[in-house]
Amino acid sequence: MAVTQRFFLAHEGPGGVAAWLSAMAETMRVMTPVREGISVVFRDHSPEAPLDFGGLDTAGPKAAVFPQTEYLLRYRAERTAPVGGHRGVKLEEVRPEGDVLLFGASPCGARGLTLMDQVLLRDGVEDPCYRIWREHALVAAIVCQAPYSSCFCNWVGGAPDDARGSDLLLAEIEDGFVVEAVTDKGLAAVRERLAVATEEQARAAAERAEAARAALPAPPDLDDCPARLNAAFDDMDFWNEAAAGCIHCGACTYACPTCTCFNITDEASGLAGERIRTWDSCMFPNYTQEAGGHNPRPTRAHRLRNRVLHKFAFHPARFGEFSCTGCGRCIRLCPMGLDIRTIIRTIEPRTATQTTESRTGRAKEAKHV
Amino acid sequence: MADVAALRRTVLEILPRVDLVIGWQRGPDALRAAPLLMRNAADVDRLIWDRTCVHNLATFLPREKGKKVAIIVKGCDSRSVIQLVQEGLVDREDLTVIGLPCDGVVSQAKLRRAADMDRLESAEIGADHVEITAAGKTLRMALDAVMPDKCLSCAYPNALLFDRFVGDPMEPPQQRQDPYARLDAFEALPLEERFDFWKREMSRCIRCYACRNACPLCVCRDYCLAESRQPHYQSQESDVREKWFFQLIHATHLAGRCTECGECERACPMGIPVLLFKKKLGRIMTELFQYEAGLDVSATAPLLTFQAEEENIVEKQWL
Repeated sequence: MAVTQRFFLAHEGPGGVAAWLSAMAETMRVMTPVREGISVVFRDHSPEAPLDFGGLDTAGPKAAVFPQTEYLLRYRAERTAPVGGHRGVKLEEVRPEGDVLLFGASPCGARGLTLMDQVLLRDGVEDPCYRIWREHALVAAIVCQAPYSSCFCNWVGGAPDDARGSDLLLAEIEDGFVVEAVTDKGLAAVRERLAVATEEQARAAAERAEAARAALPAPPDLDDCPARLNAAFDDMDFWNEAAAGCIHCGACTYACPTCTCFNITDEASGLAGERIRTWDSCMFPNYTQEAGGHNPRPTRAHRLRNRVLHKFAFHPARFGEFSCTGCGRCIRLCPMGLDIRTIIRTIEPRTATQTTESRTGRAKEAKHV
Repeated sequence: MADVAALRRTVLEILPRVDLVIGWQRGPDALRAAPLLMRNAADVDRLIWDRTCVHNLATFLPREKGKKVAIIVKGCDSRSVIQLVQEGLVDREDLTVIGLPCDGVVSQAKLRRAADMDRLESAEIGADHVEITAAGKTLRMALDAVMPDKCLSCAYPNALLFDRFVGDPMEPPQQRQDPYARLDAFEALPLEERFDFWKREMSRCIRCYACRNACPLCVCRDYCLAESRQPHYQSQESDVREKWFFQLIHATHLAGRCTECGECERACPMGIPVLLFKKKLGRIMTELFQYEAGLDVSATAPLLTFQAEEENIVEKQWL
């Protein structure tokens, strides 16, 4: 996969964005970012709709490979024969179909796919639907030009020109995009269709990317962040304070390019139904609600703690990197103005005595809120 | 607007008698605030009061039920507190209300339409303008242009329910917009266009329930019919039908209770104008029952009671 060929995709004309997208649309579904009010969302590409590459896609590219509703199977109770038969259940497996080009994703969103892969494409525990979506998706991300105030990709090992998770990485220059074929799949999509970029174009793209990197403030050292978070596990004073303004909606988790949690429901209607898998959020009380009535994460503080530790302690312990791409969507979209950076930056090392005192002092207060 | 020093002094005075005081602090950037739950004197240093204090903090009251709570409210927020007290959802005895005069906050949604708020560098809010520097560009806008619609038609600039009032009460500002202007404009569209509008808007919904959880009067929350499996009211599918269905249920449950504070719409991460549903029902409630929610703790919301013969509902016209 060590492909480093660069191509050129002009803004206009033959060999331009519109022509290339039309060519791609002949064999696959093409999704492009469109501005709707204050949001940027991926929609089926329409040559008439103006594309929006200036803003971060609001809810990320996740839904293209991990749809909010995945239909797993359909079932129907049927008689084996009109007369004298018995009633059986007919099952029909549903699997994703069709290739999709996701054009204009953000690099942080695309990188999230590699972190989702760690969870959903592990040896032995592989998600068959996700596998199909991933194989059928072609991700073309666009290098960021200027960071948002909520961006912190360089805190967590990312960069404005991070190619991980993308098949094609586009860097905008004056009259078009320099296209880097990151994977063989990406290469196949551009090799026959686009001109090779000139050295001058490639250099201009590299300079833009370098400028974007330089525009990000220096990151704090997060090496011992997992250890500090783990040490603070029982410090409920800290988590109560951190979660004080949280209204436990799912905006942060649903917009997160790395969150993979889901629920499975049988939606029945009469004698037929569907088994569906839908996004779930660890910020919802029902997420950990047990059948017997007990909830191990009864308060907002418990749930926020889980979200932060999952991303910055548990996932790194298993997979070696933070389950966060620093895209800042959770910060941008939080209706209450909560900022996860504050937690991971300010969490201090704790002594055993502190956490024990806190545990005994606060355990009584845990109730369903 | 009242000054923050006076507000802090009042909070410090009240703090020893309560478990917590709910106010605002600076959020992720210069024009965003975040809720602040103050438990000790040191927390009070972080308290702010300016035009970025948009959150209706009344949404935290049912969550903190059983504690002695003090809450800081603007005029509009106080109506939610009144409604909660009226319905017995919070105990008045446990509550200390710190009222403020307010002649308007700033809307993130309107600011976002005007400026590159994601690249905000600095901001200054003056008496009648906002000056923003974002992505290297400085932009000066009239305050009215970036206020939420509710502020442009505000009739209650002062907290209506309070134990302490900080600052001088204001005269209601001149109404610059009809409270139902947006609804009128929408309803003037042909039916098909309205239907297409909602299909498109609701298709963006991610079912995160920020609208529900930000709502001060949506008190079922953890036991919401949208997620209930038994009974099974709603499918978990994320299609437009289910999302829209939920919005209509939400709006119907709030009819006559909703004060149109707009938190549902403000909270929506996908920018869906869900307040329109509540505006529609709010107007019907006003027309049918001459009732405005959140003004009187001793009133009863029209749909929580009945009259044998309703004045404006002709149901026996066959007689």
